[in-house]
Amino acid sequence: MTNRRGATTQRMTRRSLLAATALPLTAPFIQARAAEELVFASYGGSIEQFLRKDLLPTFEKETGIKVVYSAGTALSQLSKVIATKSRPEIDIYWSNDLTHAAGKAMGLFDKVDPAIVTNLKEMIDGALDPQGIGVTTHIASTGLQYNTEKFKQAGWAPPTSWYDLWDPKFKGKVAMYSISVLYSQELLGAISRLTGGSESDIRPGLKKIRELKDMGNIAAFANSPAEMDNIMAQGQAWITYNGNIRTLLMKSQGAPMEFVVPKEGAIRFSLYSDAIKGAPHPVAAQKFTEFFLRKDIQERTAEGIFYAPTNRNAVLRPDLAAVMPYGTKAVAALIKLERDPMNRDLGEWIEKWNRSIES
Amino acid sequence: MRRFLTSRHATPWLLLLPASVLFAVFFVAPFITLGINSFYDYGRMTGIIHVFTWKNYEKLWLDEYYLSVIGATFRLSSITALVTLVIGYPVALYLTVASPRAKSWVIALILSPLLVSVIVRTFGWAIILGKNGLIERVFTAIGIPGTDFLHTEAAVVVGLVNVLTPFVVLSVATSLQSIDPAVPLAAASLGASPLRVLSRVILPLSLPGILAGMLIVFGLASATFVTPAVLGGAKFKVLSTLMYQQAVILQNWPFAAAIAVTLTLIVLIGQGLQNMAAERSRYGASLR
Repeated sequence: MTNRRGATTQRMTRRSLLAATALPLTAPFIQARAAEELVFASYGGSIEQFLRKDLLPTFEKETGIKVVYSAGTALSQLSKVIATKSRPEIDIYWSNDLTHAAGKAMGLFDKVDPAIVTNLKEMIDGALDPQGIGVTTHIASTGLQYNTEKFKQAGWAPPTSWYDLWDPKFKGKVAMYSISVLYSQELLGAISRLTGGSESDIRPGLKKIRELKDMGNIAAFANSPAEMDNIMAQGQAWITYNGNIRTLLMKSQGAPMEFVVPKEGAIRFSLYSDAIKGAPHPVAAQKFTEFFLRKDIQERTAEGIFYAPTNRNAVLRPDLAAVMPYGTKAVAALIKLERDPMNRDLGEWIEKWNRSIES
Repeated sequence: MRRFLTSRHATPWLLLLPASVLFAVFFVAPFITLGINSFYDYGRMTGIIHVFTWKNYEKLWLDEYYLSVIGATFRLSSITALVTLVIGYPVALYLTVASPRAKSWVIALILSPLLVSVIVRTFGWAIILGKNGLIERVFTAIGIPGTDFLHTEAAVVVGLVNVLTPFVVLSVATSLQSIDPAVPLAAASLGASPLRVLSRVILPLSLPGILAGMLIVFGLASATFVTPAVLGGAKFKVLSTLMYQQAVILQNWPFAAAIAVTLTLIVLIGQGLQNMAAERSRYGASLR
């Protein structure tokens, strides 16, 4: 008991430092206690609802492992993993391309254990990490989202290209994400590429997106996907770029929204299951990865929150298959951004964007 | 035990002990760590680099963009402090003449925003101030369309004034109550008009309360995070939202720490100005 107390005090100091440096966010973070527990760093909103109600009870029933759910954003969860590096609290972190690259570069993640995660061989090409650190659990895509009702009223055709955002008729109708949100980082990467730059040279993309501001197309900036949903639902803006799952979730709740794969390609967005190095429940973490990648679970996830499966045996209903990057051809058509330079230069990206676009 | 408590030397220390321990462990120690952190370097591929550098402060204090953010923070806090004073002072004046019953009602009303969670309160304001919100609909009805002012500095000020007014009211009311009732009466009996009594007697005598209240509001407003993030939107950048971006999105804790230290310095400057003003108000009149 005394030991545990000592440990808690020590941890508190580190946490209060983190609190002092910024964040009043984050759900209450519960400390792992019993052996059969798993601390799962994930996301909030509809994703949390689905996981808590649907998937996690199945996992708990099958394995007897209790899941402690921590909701946040990919980057805030990464911050937490870094903050607790010397005494990890999170067992499994559901990361994305960028934070996977970042955490891997810093050596925060463990390898996937093929002895427990036996379904690794069922994965589609490219889902496995070359170094065996983490595995792609789901794929989504970032493209255009528009308000079908407003477009119909105005008599406009649906957008077809990334460049449609620059259409003068969308003056004051385009919603943007803050650069803190991944979708804007992806937009900047993709537009840089399309305009002759690359992930290592974003000047052309920055210049192009600056035009969007100068011509007055930008209606608002959203600080989070939830805020974007509001801006779009209230008709404050009619068109934006968004993750397909965001659009599909809105649509499934009855909003007049549609997702468009631009003709230049939608951007590939992957989620990873990353076990944290030195975490208290390594076996449970591997078991969870195995569960997450299972054919039936992947099918249920696609139905519930529209994340496309990476298990090649997963079969989707045709209507679902049509709206997500499902199948070799659809996955291959996605723009695959170079996440390593993106992660390396993220500080400069944000600074430059802050100065020239979000101000 | 009894002897210990009555001992003249130990008692003050004992009284201070719980507060100082709390303060030392949860504020002073982390703050020192924060200060040290602010002089480290950072790279995204390497994490925090433990070498001494002025880099973070150079960037923050010399770069035009970051200076503009510091300026915006100063501006927001000052405007909020002034507006809360303009709104709070009459309420405090009313409290000095109100019946005890009315007084307790007004105080409860003034304190009510503090009883609502910051998230709920802020999103409530976002709905009222936003597109098709109450404000816009009322103004549209009387023929002034397009008055949705969510995501502007004004929206942030409204949100902050709403919750920070009690600090000014209570602080000023305390000051007003300590004024000897004979003093304004004396001024009136010597022929001063009510306005003159207010401006030359009551206002100067309540200055300590005004300054203390404004300082509290200034400090709280400069450090607030949820209100500028939600009501100001992504484009409205103050030090707290910038700090969030650096610490949580970029994991650049050294730079975020430098921002935190700068924010503290801003509040300390505010405190210094308040002390100076208080000294002058106390002695200035008699010296003149």
